[in-house]
Amino acid sequence: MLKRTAAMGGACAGYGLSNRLLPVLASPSSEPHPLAARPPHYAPKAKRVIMFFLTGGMSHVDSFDPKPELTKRDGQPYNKSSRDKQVFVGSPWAHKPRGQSGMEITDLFPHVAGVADDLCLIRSMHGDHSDHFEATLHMHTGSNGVAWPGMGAWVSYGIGSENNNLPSHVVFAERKPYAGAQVWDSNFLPAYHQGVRLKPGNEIIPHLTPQKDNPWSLQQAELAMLKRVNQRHFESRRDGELAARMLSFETAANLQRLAPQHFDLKDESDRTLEMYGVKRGDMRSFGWQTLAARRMAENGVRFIELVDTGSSGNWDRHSRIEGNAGLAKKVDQPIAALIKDLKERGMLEDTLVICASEFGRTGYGASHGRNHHAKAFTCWLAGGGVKAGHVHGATDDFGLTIAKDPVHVHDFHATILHLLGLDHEKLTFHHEGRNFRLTNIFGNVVDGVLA
Amino acid sequence: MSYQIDKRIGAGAATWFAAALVGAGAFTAQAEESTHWAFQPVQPTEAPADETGWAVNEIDRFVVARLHEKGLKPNPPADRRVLIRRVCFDLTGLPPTPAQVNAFLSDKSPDAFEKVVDELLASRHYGERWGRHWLDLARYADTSGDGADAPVPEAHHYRDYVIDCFNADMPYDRFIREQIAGDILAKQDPDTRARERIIATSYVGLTRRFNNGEYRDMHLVIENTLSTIGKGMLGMSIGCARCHDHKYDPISMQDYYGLYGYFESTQYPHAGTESGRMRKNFTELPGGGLAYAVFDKKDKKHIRDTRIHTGGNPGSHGAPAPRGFLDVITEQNAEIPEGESGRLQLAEWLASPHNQLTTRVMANRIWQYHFGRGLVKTSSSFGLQGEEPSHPQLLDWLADRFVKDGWSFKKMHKRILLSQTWRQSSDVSETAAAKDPDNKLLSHYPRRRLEAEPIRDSVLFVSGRLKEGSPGAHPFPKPNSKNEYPYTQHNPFAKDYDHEHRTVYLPSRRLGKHPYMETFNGPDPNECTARRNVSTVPLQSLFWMNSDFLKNNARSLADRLARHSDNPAKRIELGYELAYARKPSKEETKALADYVAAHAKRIPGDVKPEDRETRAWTSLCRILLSGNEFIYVD
Repeated sequence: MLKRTAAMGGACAGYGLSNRLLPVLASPSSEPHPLAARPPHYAPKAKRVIMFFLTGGMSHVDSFDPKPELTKRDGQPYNKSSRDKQVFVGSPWAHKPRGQSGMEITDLFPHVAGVADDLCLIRSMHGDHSDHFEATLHMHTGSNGVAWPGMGAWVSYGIGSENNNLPSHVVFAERKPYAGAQVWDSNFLPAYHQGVRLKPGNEIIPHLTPQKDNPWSLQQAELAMLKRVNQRHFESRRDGELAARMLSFETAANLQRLAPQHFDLKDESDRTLEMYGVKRGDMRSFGWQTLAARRMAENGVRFIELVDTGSSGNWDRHSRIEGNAGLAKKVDQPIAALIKDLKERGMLEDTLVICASEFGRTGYGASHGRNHHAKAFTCWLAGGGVKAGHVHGATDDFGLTIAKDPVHVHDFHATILHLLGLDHEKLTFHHEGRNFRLTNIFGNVVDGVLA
Repeated sequence: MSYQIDKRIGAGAATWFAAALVGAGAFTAQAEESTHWAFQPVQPTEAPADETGWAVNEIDRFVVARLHEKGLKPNPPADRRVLIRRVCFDLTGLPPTPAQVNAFLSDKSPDAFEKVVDELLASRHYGERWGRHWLDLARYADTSGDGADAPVPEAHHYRDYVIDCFNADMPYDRFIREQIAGDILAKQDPDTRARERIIATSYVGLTRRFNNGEYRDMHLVIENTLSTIGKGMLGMSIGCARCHDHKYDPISMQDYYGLYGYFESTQYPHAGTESGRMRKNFTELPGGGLAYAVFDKKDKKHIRDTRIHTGGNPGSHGAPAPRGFLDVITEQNAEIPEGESGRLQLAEWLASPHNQLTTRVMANRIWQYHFGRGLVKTSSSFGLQGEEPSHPQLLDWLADRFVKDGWSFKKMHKRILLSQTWRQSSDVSETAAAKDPDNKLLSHYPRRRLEAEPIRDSVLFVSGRLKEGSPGAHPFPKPNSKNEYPYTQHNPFAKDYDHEHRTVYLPSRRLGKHPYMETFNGPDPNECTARRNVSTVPLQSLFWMNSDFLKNNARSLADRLARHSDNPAKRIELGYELAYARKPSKEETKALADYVAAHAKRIPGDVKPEDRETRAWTSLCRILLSGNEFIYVD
């Protein structure tokens, strides 16, 4: 039985000291790290998560749930009695059975289609809200109104991290998704579990680079002196919070020295770079982000999310659905490369890869585009404990309603936690008079996707 | 199984269903409501006698009696230097100047400390510190909070209003009345504070907006208003009753929709959003300018009681719910004048001396801001799910005193600060650690980390860079000629502005905290924040190590020390006085002087010698500012 609430709650720096006074002979470094790895509720299948989030509502009927019926009816009015110009829109992308499993995927994602036998498609996803902001929040936090902690924060809170010199939860986001930083916020969970936004570009983590006139050689001496000053202050007080802050400077110094190694791909082979479609020296593209994500996963980071594109210019195509081609081109090869790469390294079996969007899209629309659709859409999982080459659930001939095995966003969350060895009903945090969960009071683990 | 919830209900419904089910079966509201402490009238009792002679006032007598029960003793008073630093941060959020410290140390009169307290209470900085506490409760923000998160350039009037009210020691009952119904008061008496009273209702106007259309999801907006009033003023989570009768607390849907009616009859301003871009229903202020304030709906047919939304669904109307108060506190509702929203009557009820929730909740909050935790730890949750008070009689005594003192904050501060309880040292004895590890009984003053605002303000203050006063409006872009903003959920407003005024004046966006506030546990501007989380994370340490802010301020402090003296020991002494309100020991001076000398030598030889010296001193100043002693208060 976990006792996270007692150990991690409160204002006490995430340090498990209900009694802040340290034993008389304690040293500032003798306390467990607030991100120390913690055992899950039961044996996990996956030890870490890499999640792709395709922003804007990626069309399931143009990608992972192709519908020939739409092509047949292309241009016909969707609702004859209605005066608006909503017509069925056939997908511009052909589809065919892929791999040994024979699951149908369109040519929009040719590379991902190439690893179909590693995927577990859930074609029967559904959510509660069909606006971007609310649905994005829902997919991340389980709430579509008032923000709650993000899934990554819950995972970090649940099982801690294997490497205390890196954050446990990071989010690659060149631009923010809908609902902004709320999707990775720790909210009422202890702040250690907050997602650290990694912003591709000059300053990937805020303040990660020393000032030019204070390089590591000098800074090291400065931090040593700071430690002496703090140590002296600590001696007469022996307060766990003071010790925690002293330790956090050491963690920060390690982060500063080590994190750039995870971003710099110098020691990756040409073959690997080619697989991800990354040019040497690139520190920005989605391929670079994906490869850096793999490196962080290798180094013990628990939950890594990659937000594709951000809240504009994304998959939200109300007109000209063909425009998806450019968006897919950006992410298709890196996503497939990650799966192949993890597999080659023997990491796919204990890494859960997630690909999600806030909702899908209708099989009809105006101006050759598609509308938001939260009643049926596709997300997929791969690796850590899920069936490979498997399709769970199905929609009707138009991709509008669920024909089989519905999976609500809460069920999706419950399943992800389950794969990590966490019981979604037991992973709770007491806040303002009640026990909160990622899945609220809902959610059932989807047995049908478990290997 | 399907979890489909009507989207019009939204997450709120799910939340409250959850609240219902989590505790289902554990409790029957009817049985306990009659006995629950928080619903009982305030019953002040006489403070017990203190035979030890330690106590100087009633607060001490209540505290020491509880300590004795547990076999504990209070700590001796803190050292004078500790005390002046503590009281300066407590009341103004800034460290004392060396002159303030010296004046206090050399004042041998018995009321020396009281003089310091009076001086600090009279300072403008008091309102900037204590006004911020209220802004946390009022979930203050400078943007609307829906998908577009449009700027609200008018919001800052409310921020300044709150600061001014604290500085003027506005009685809390009036403060409540103005914020709930200032527009109605201004109409009744246009010659008294009309401008301020209208601005005050931005408390309601600043409610978080939802969705992407004009006045869409108003049921969620009004829930946010009620939840802010409920938690902030009454210490009750009344939002639970939006979808069903509250399962923990005696709050029914009748209660919820009774309160809802006041605000459904009220016109909220619209800051513009994706569909519905035009800003409208702002209030023109006497003397010019606009406020993000509220007023009674102009079309009288919209001023009315509402009906219960069955299951929390705003499209499904059940029984009528006459506008009224919480039954558990007051069964008799006030009569509402024809054609008015009734907010004035609601305000009178909230601010009534007989409202035991309002008075206890604020007495407890004042205590919390002075001690880091309330006598009731769950300071926004006084219902059956909250914690019991550690000192129930003291709480009632304070609540009663607060009202008898004319709802004066400043009088309450003095009572608390002049107590021996508050003036104890923060040392922890082994007995105390064993018998009362959470220090609930207050055998010592709890050491505290400063919150985001006093940390940043102190860095600026000590380095000599802090700009006094309010910077006024934020430099937001102006709406176009049609009074529209271009922001949408796809391109929300997302700019942060910086300055070197106090942190209370930094803009606050609902969809993204200011980066500094995000790093240092700033409040959530969407919800009533009862208490700041003060966790320590490595990203904060990176800020101390590498930010331009620290570099620039450390450099300014180094310049300040250099102007003071050429003698390294004297510079270090001033640095300690400014940053830590004390003189360094000989060993400390030597260690740091040696550090500067050695550090100057470590700096590469191609740097000019005088620059090398400046850089070494800048490094020393960064150490002083980064030290635990700088951001912790004993």
